[in-house]
Amino acid sequence: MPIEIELPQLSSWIGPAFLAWLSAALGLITLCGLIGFLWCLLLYGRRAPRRFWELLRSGVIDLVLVSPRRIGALAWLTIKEAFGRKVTVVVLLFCVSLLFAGWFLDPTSSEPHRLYLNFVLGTTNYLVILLVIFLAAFRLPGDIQNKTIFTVLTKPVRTSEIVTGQILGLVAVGSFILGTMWIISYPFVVRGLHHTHAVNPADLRPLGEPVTLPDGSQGQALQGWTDPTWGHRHRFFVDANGNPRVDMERGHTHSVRVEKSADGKVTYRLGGPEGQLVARVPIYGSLVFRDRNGFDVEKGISVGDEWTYRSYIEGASQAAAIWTFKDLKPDEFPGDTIPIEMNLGVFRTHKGDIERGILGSLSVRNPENGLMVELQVFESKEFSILALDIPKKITRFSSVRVEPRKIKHADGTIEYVRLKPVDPQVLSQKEFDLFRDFTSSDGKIEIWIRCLESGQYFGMAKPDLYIRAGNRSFFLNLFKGYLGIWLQMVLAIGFGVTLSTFLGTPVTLVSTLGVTIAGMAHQFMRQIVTGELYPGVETPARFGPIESFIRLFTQEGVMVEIPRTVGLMVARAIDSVFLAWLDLLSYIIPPMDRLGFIDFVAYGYNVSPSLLAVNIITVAGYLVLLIVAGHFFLRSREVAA
Amino acid sequence: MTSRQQFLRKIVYLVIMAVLLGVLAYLGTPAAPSRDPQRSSPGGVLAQVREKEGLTPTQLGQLDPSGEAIKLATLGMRGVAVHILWMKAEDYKRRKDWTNLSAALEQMVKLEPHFVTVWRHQGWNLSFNVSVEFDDYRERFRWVIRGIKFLQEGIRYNEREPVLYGDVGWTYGWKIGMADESKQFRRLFMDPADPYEIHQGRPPRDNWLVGKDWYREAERLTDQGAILRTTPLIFYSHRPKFQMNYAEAIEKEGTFGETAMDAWKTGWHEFVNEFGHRELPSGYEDFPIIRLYERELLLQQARELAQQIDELEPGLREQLLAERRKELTPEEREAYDTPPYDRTARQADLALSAEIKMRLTHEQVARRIKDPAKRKKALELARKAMELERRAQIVEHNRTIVNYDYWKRHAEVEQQPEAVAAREAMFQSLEAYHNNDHITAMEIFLEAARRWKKVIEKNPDIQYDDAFVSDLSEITDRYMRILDQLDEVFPEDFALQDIIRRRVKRRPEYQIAMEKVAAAQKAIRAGDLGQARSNLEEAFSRFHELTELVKSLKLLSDRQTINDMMNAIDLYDAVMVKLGDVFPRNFVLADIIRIQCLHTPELVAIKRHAAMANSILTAGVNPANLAKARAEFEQALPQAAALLKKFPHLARLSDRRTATELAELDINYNRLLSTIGESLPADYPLREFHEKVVPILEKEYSEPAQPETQPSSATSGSSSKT
Repeated sequence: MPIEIELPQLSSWIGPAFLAWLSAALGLITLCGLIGFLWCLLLYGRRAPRRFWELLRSGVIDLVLVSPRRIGALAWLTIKEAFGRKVTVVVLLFCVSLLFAGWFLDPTSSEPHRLYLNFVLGTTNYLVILLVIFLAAFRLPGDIQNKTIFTVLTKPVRTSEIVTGQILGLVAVGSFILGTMWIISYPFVVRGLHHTHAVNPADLRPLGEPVTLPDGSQGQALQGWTDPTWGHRHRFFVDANGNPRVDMERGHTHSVRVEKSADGKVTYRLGGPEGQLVARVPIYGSLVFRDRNGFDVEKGISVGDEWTYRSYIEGASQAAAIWTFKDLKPDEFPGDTIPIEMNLGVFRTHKGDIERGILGSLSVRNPENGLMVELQVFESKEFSILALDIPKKITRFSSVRVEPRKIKHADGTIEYVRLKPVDPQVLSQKEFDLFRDFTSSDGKIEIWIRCLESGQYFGMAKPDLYIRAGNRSFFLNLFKGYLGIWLQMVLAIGFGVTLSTFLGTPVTLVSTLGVTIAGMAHQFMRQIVTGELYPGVETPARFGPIESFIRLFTQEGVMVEIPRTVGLMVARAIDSVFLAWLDLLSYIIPPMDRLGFIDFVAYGYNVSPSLLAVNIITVAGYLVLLIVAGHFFLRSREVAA
Repeated sequence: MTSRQQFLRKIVYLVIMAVLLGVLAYLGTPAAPSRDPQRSSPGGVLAQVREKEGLTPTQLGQLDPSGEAIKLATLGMRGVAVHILWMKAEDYKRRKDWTNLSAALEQMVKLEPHFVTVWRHQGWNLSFNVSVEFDDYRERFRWVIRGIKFLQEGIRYNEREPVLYGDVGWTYGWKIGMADESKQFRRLFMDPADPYEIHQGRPPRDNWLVGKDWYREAERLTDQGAILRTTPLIFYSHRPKFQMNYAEAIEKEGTFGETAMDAWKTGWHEFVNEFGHRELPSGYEDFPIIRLYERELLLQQARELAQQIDELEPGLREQLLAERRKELTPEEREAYDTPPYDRTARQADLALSAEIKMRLTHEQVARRIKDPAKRKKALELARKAMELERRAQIVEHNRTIVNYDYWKRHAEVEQQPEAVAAREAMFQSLEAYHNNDHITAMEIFLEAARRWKKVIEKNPDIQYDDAFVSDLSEITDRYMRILDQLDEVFPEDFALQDIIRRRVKRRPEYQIAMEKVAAAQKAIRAGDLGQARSNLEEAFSRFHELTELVKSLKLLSDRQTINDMMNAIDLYDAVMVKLGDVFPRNFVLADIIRIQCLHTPELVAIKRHAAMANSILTAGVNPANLAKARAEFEQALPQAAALLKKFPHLARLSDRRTATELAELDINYNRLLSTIGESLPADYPLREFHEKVVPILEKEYSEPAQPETQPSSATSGSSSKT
């Protein structure tokens, strides 16, 4: 799965994130306070400081001394009203979309599970977000317009409780709908992907020569194909002992049951697909490259691909990709091996032997003393996961050596990474222990990938190689996928309710929709601001709307330099204001696109607790500020009234 | 505003609305077909136009309820949705997200099932662009087939679009039959298990023939009146060309005999009798419809008319031509008289200008007839003849676009038993080579060359066909590998020498080299040795470029060209003798001299005797061994002298490797004599070489090798630009 942005780790993220949040909150409070004070000055003249202080004091008290009981009551009221407005129709709409999904979902696709999961999670996302935006936009302004808000305000209820109650009530409604969708979508996906194949034993052809089995009988290995279902078929093998096996195809395989009739006729019954709906637990390392001269570099070679996600290493040279993993413990990996999985890109500068993939090697190295062994040679497999095992007890290996690492500085000086000395006897060992010999005292281990064929290249990015620490439940991972949507929904509700405290229904609706769309395209917004419209591809300049329009009109691409006329200078000056505004907006609008986990679920990767916690805390941070802001806005409105 | 005014305004609005609705109904009422003709309605104007032009959904292809549902769901924003999907598809392709790319395409075509460009572009995209992103050729093949199936899906919705059928045929043919992986692709295509579900339960067939069937279907549609949205001339040429590609493919894979001959015969028949006789738009207003086969016929008719004009005043045409010929310069005349294939580049230019001057129209001849009555008749005949020639010219132009003459002649020659036999021998030779049986490979290859010679003797015109000459010459270059493995050169009677010679003579490198040699001869006669040297070095550089282009020359495939080079070397040697200099250290034609030396009996004998002498001395230095070694050396020395006589420029170090071998022989012999206390005999055959050349070589070897720009910096500069 391509991950184009760095995934945050909770431990390293929380400190700086909290400081950033605190400074943003203080800045916002100061700004709002200043505006409030000026407003008071306008309204009350000389009495303004005293009045402002009273408002501030009572506001803070209102905020702090909230009653959970009253919040609960208000939330319940919101829930009842929402259900009164027939929100369950959305669930019905979802069910209808599932009924007709078969028209549009192509089970013959190379990865149908991704299509199905993208569809259910995507549909849910759009439906729920739209629903809550409408509910939030209509709720409070409707009450204010109908004057029904006074029936609440005349009660001893604080404004903060109204805002919080509204948000909690809407979150509860959204959660109910999302939960229902989660329950409905699971069987839809499983049933939708279910298929099987038939095998005709008569179509199986002998594979190799007959062999004599231990019981003295003759056995013959067979091979053939299953019948086609959903645009694919599997290679089918039966070994000399009669044990059948189905090859992996389109990311899945099938279990096989052998049935023998009384007359000795063999029938093979294939089960449903296996291996499609998984939740792999990857452990990612950090990646550096080594160039053809053996120097460490941040990036490999560009082979001219427009998508610069992967960079490449040259074959039959000193070039390598080096992943460093931290804190690996033997007891985390039951069994004799550590499974790794990789998904490498391949670039050929000559045809070579196209009957097979490009050969590469896998080595492990101790970063502390440089001890390195080559474990195995593998054949590349592009656009599919290649699973390899690193044995804990290494008995089959080659090229034992001490491999130094060196860096060439800009001034041409070469710096060697200091290594601890290695006992020469170690180099002649016949067996190595992965954790004893190749793990440094601070728990680090390096995995090196090299391309072995001259003129050919391997391409890789950091997430392309990981250690697979088992599997988690797909059902729970799907739940996490829905949790991602839930987090987006909570933010949409927060913005909707807060904006509705001082805006009318239509404006609230449009504003919340705007915030949500901008949040969903947050990365795109940042790319426009930074000038990196395509990840890794730097456009020659940051174009604003006016220059973009000029280029559209004159049909000049982004890479073309256009004449620097006075008009262009003026356009760029105006654009710089637009871009500064967009830059500011990109810090205020929440990165809702990062909150979702649809890709994780669809590609079959477990959503890590750390990432989940980061996203939950992010949403909580926004929500706190939104409640505070909503509370003060509603109070100001009350005061104005 | 009063209430009356308001009322009136409402009335006006209602009237306008009613009128507009009426117009709308007149234009847009849908058709209501019924089995009962009395009850059926043709609908509004638009519905009738759609019906007439064959644009109703049912006429275009099958109806798709899911597509209609999606169209409705977009609430009239179908165009916007398709644009977004197109951009997303491009983005998915860039990010190599093939699953989502497929899904986006599926959605796109559901929204626009009758937009043929979408099907064509994306079908091509999948088969030609996405497929090559995969490293594994099996995956590549899967995506090629996916692109084809996408196009076939497009045909379901656009049953009367010949271009879509053509695209399917094109992809089956070219992508599977001509890709880098065509060997593997064709193997997968004809796998009896049909794992990619291509043949739908039918027995696998050759991809070219399957592609041809799709083109046949497209032609059937156009014959029935379907609109062909591409150039008919090129479109209709594909089917017969596919048949010929099929014939080539099966020969490449080892199928010969009747099968191959029949395949070529069918190809010829389809190309000449079907495609050649098809009525095609010419692209010219004066003769809008032509048939490609008719050029010869038209020219024959024009010739007959010209003959009739000539009969009206015999000898007039010859007289007029003779008058014009007098106006040509001697150079133009010579160029004009030289057969086109033997002309140099300069002669080709001169001949063109001469042809323009010599061009005599029938009208010009007719106007010079003295008798008015005859002249009138001649002018009428001339008009008809020129019309026929004009039509022939248009046919010729269209023929050039599809390379008609080449394919026609190619199919004619290839269907002959001699050509099939020659191809079979070449295939067997290659097989033997791959089985490491190099001697058999060489023997069969030489036999193949003899068979090709027979083909040329039977069809002498093909030796003037650039494509054929180039084809055979390249095959010869490839077979060099076999000779190279065996340390052999092409035999002096190599059957395809003439073909290689023709190719060489057409190359500008050869022509410039020969011009430079001529210039050098002129400079020598004028006594300007520096200029002669410079000219010859330029000539060598061109000869060297020639050997890189026609690689088989390195193994002496064409002795005449090699002789040209050797004559130039002899000339250079003469200049060097006069200048008292030697050949440059990195003389570019040294390899040509070396390969000839290596295949002389003299150098073979020298190597044998020198090796014997060295092995005797290695065994032990004693009087008996010294005597034996001396005997061996003394047998080698006359051979060395003979070699120097054969290649006198070796004394000016034209080939340093051979010269060094001779020097080693000389030094070792001298060393042996000094060991036994003797001096060089008076009749020492290598005395001059010993005294003049060996010291130069010793000096060169004692100096560090220096980079040298040879022949001259100006020359190398110009060659790099070339």
